[in-house]
Amino acid sequence: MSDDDLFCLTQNGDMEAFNVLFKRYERKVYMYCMRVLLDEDMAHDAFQEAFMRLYEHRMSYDGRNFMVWFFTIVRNVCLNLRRNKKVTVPFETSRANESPAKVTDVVLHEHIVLALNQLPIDHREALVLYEYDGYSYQEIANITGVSIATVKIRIFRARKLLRTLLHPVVYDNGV
Amino acid sequence: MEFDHLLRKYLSGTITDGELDQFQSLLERVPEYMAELRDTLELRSLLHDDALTLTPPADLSEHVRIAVSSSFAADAITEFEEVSRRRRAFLFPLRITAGALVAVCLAVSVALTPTLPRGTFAAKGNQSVQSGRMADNSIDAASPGNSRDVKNHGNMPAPHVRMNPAHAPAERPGISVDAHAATARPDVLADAGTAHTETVSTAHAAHTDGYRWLVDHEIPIRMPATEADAHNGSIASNDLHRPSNPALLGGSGSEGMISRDPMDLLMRTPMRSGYNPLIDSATRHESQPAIQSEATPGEAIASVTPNDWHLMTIGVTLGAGSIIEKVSPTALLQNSYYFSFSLSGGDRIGVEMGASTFERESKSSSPFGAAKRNSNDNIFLASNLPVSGGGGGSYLGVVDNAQGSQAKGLGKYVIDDTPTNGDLPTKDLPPVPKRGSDMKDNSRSYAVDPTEPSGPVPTPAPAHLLEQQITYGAVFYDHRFKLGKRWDVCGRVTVGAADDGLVSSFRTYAAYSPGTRNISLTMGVGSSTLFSLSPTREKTVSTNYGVYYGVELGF
Repeated sequence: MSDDDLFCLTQNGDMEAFNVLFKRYERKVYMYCMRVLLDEDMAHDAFQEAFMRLYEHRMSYDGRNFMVWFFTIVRNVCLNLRRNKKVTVPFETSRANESPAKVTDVVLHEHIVLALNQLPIDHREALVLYEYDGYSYQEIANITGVSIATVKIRIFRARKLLRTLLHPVVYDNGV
Repeated sequence: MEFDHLLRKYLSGTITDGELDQFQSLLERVPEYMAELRDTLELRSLLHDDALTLTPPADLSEHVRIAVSSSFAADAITEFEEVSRRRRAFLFPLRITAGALVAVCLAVSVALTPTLPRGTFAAKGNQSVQSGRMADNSIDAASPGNSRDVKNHGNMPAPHVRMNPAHAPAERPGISVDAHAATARPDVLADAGTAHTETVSTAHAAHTDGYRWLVDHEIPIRMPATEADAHNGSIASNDLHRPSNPALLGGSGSEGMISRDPMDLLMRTPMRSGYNPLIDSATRHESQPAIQSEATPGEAIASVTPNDWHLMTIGVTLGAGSIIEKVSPTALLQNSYYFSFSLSGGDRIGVEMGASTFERESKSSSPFGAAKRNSNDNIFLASNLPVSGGGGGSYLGVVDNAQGSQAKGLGKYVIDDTPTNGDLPTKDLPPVPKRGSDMKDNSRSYAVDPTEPSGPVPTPAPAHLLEQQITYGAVFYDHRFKLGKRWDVCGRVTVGAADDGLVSSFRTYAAYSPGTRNISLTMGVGSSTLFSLSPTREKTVSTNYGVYYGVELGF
C-alpha cells in the first residue's frame, strides 16, 4: 500500500495505517534531522515536531506524493529550529591528524559530523537526502524546491568537499 | 565533465552498458579518475556506515508514535461525533415536523371519524338514522294485523324488550323517530339498548315465497302515517326499500323510491356484495338462500365499500435482511413509519420515513481493536474506543502490545536513485564497493528496509462494526389486489432521499385485516437500493433485501 493510501486511512482514524507509515519514515526523518541539524537534542525536538506537524497540517495534504509533502514539513521544522537556535561546531582540524590508533569508529563519526557541518546547509541537506535517506534527484528537487540540475550540483560539490575534509581521516589514518 | 556525469550515473545505478564501457576506459586511461572514484566510493561507504548508526531511540520513537496516533484517533472520533451531531441537528426539525404532522393527521382523523363516508348517511323525511356501528340488535316487528312480520334473524340475540314508541327517541340515541312514526308503529319490538336493525327478515311469503334478504342497518324506515294506518300499523313493504337519500341512487324525490321487487333491488346491488342476481334467481325461491356476504343492499345503496382502503392510514414497519455485498455478510435492520391517503379503492399514496442500521463483520487490527472508522462506508464502533481522560493508560497499553515488536529489523542500507515515494526499492541494485578491504572483493550489498516490520503482517481480528444509520424520507405508491374478505396483496414503490444519497425500494406484502376493520397486519418482502452521493463512499450503489412486518391503522 502506498504512502498516500496509508495516510488517507490514517486521516480516517486507522491507527494501523499510521503505524506502518511511521515505521517507514521514522528512521529517514531521524537521519535527516540528525545530519542536517548536527545536534542530537535539536534533532530529537525536530523529530517530534515533524510528526506532530504531520497531524496538525493533515488537512493541507492534497492526496499526492505524501513523501514530498511530509519531508517538506520535516525540512521546514529543521530549518526553523536551526534558525532559532544557531549552533556552530567548529571543525577541529587537529583531530584529523591524530594517530591511527586513537581513531575509532566513534571518532570517525564525529569527523563526519564535523565535516558535514562545514558544508553549506543546502549542500548538506541535498547530500543527506541523497546519501542517507536514499531519495532520488527528482524527489530531492521536489522537497527542496529547486531544479534537478541544482540538486546534482549541490550533491556533487558536497561530496567533493567532504572528500577533501575527510581525506586525512580516512586515508592518512587508514580507517 | 564527462567523467563526473558517468560517475554520477554509476553511483546512482543508472549507467548503461555503453556508458559503463566508456567509464571503464576512462578509469583505465586516467589514474586520477580511478583515485576519484575510489575516494567517492570510500566516502559513500563512510556515510552509509554512519547512517546505520542513526536509529531513533526506542523511547523517543514510541513516545512520538503514540502521541501522534492518539491525536489522529481523537481527531477521527471528534470528526465522527461532529458529523453525527450535525446529522442529528439537521434531522431533528424534520423528525419533529414529521411527528407533528402525523399527530395532527391522527387527531384530525379521529375528530372527523363520525363524518367519514363510511358511517354518514343523511336522511330525509321525518326520520333519520345516524351513523354508528350497531350491535347485535334487532327490531322484531310483527304486524298483528296480517301475516307479514318482521322478526329477528341470523345470529342476533332475540330482542324481547318491547319498546314504548313514544320513548324511542330518548332511549335509542342515534335514531330519531318522529312522534307520528312512533305512534304509527305501536307494535315495534326492539331491544332497549339497540340503535338499529342489523338484519331484517321480512315475511314476503304472501308475495315472494318468503324470500329472505338483508337490510342495512342504516336505512331509515319511512313510515308514512297513511300507509302505516292502511296497513294496520305495520310497515309497508314498499317503505322497507325506500332510502332516505334517494340522490345516492341517482335520482331524487320519488324517483329514489325503489321497487318493492327484491329482484329489482338485487339488480341494483354491486356484484361484490354477493347478491348475484343470476344465482339468486335460481335460489330466490328457497326459503333460506345461502347468502353469506356482509354487504347489504343498504351498503350498496349508500356506496359504502368497507373493503376499500381507509381514507387515511398510518403504519409502522420493521424489517430484517441483508445487504447484497461480496466482501462480508451484512445484517440489516430497518424501521419505517408512513402516512398515506387513499386515492381510490385500490390505490394510495403516502410519505414514509425510516432508518436502516447495518451490522457487518469487518477486519481491523487497529491498536484500538475495532475502534476503526472507515469513511468509505461510515463504519465506526464507538464502544471499543479507548476511554478518554482516565483511560489513557489502557490506550497506551493497547498500542504497545500491538506494535511493540515491529521495529526490530535493521539491515544494510544502500542508496538508490530510483524514485521511491517513501518506499525503499526492492529491485537488485548495482554493486557498491565497500570501503577498505571490502572494496576489493566488490561484494554486493542489497537494500534491506530497516523501517519495515520484520515479521509477517499480523492478521487483523474480525470486528463487528455498526454502520451509522441511514435515515430517509420518501413518497410511495401502493396498489392493492384483493384476495378475499380479509386478505390483500399489495405492491409498493418508494422513491426518496436519504442522508447519504437517493433511495428507492420495491416491496410486496400481504395485508390481513382481523376482526377489527381499522387494523391491518402486513408481512412481505422487499428490496431497496441506495444511490450514494457521498464522495467518500467507494460503492455508489448498495442494494439490500429483507422481510418486513408491520401494522397499520386506518381511519
